Amino acid sequence: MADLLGNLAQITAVSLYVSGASTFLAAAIGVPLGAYIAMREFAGRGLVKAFTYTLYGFPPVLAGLLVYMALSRQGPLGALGLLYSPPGMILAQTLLIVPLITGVTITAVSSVDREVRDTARALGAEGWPLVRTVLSEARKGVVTAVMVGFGRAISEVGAVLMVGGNLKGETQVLTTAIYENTRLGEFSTAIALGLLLLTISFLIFFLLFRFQERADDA
Amino acid sequence: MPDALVLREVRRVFRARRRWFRPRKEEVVAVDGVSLAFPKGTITALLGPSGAGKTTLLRMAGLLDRPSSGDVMIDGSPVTWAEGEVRALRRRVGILLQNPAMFRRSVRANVAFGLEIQGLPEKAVEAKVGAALKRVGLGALADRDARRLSGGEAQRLAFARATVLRPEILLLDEFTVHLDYQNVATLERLVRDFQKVSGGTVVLVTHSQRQALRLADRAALVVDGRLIAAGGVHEVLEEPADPRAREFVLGDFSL
Repeated sequence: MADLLGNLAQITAVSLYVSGASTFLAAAIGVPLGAYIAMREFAGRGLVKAFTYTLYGFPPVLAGLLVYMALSRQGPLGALGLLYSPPGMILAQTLLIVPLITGVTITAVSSVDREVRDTARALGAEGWPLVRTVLSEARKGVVTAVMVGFGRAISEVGAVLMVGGNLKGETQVLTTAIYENTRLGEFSTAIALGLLLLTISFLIFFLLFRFQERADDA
Repeated sequence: MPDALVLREVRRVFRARRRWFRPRKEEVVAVDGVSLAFPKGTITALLGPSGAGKTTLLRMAGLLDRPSSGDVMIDGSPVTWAEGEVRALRRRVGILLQNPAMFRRSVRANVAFGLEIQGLPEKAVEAKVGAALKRVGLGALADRDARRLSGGEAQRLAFARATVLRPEILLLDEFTVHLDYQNVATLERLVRDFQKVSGGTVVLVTHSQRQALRLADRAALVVDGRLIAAGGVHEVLEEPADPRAREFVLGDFSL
């Protein structure tokens, strides 16, 4: 029993670490990128937006395949030895959710009234202070972007399975553990893991939701 | 009296939104070669019918939009529109937009916005914001969410937020539209006080000739993107020479 609990805790920790780190990295890239695309006029902007939205449907197994090939011994990043390791999984999930976070941020920032930007500029904000102001006005949407990204990361199987290899005690996460237990006919364990995943998602989204509500009141 | 602000042959053209695979050609000329000087220390009213290009003109003077051609000149030198230059000049030119946005924060934080961007120390910001709020009669509402203010309160907040930066040139776009008599009187007094205390230059876009006569020394009349009259406010509004100017002035009074 203690062994099982220890295992569960370990699997959960890897899940949270991998998905949390990918969400953090993807937000660090996607939020500024989305704000830039939404606020700057540049040639080909419509195309970039359309491309970003298209990537919403990026299949996790395809992200897995690409990162697998890049990290495999013959691949361009093979020398790093990241295949079948959490950093490799983080790379795959980051790739998967950057478009989501970027796209939702574009939508959120675009929905900030033109008057807000003009007012901020009239008061002397340009460059980063202007972006910061607009992002702060759009914070509810930006939190949504991060939530959507995390939701996709924590619940996806394909990319982490291919790149991580579902190695027990190392790269096994909740979703891949559910997958494996189902395959072995261990349905009660699979269901228990599923409930655990659901509970964790619920808790995290509840916290983010509360944060979002507060952001609206502030 | 030297000119604080000069518009030289400014023109602004809007292009119809660009679409893929479709050549763009539709153009709307909002402002068509306007030259106008604003002497230091004066209040000028910019009048004209709706859609005449008054706001476009003001936005160019306020360095928010770049003219398609022509120059905006501040203290005699034309603006080159380099990013650093615009940033530096914005400290000297304040513009109050027709629909000023209230940032999602307290009244106090809204007024502090520009000062914080300028990097003033916290103590100085606090003192200036406190004084500015008191001037516009919002001292008691300092901690209120700015988005919950009434129309008049919001406009007074916007005025405090723009003038706390002590601009040398203050541009106002329909700053009392839709407000009740009392708020109009308060805001007009604030504009007069600001001008007197700072010795700055004020340009106001207004629909109301009465407001122009109450506040301004000078007036300029814009119709269809062109300047058709400019000079002393009484001269322009009471003895209009241009037939279109006469039409506008009489038409407005007959309402």
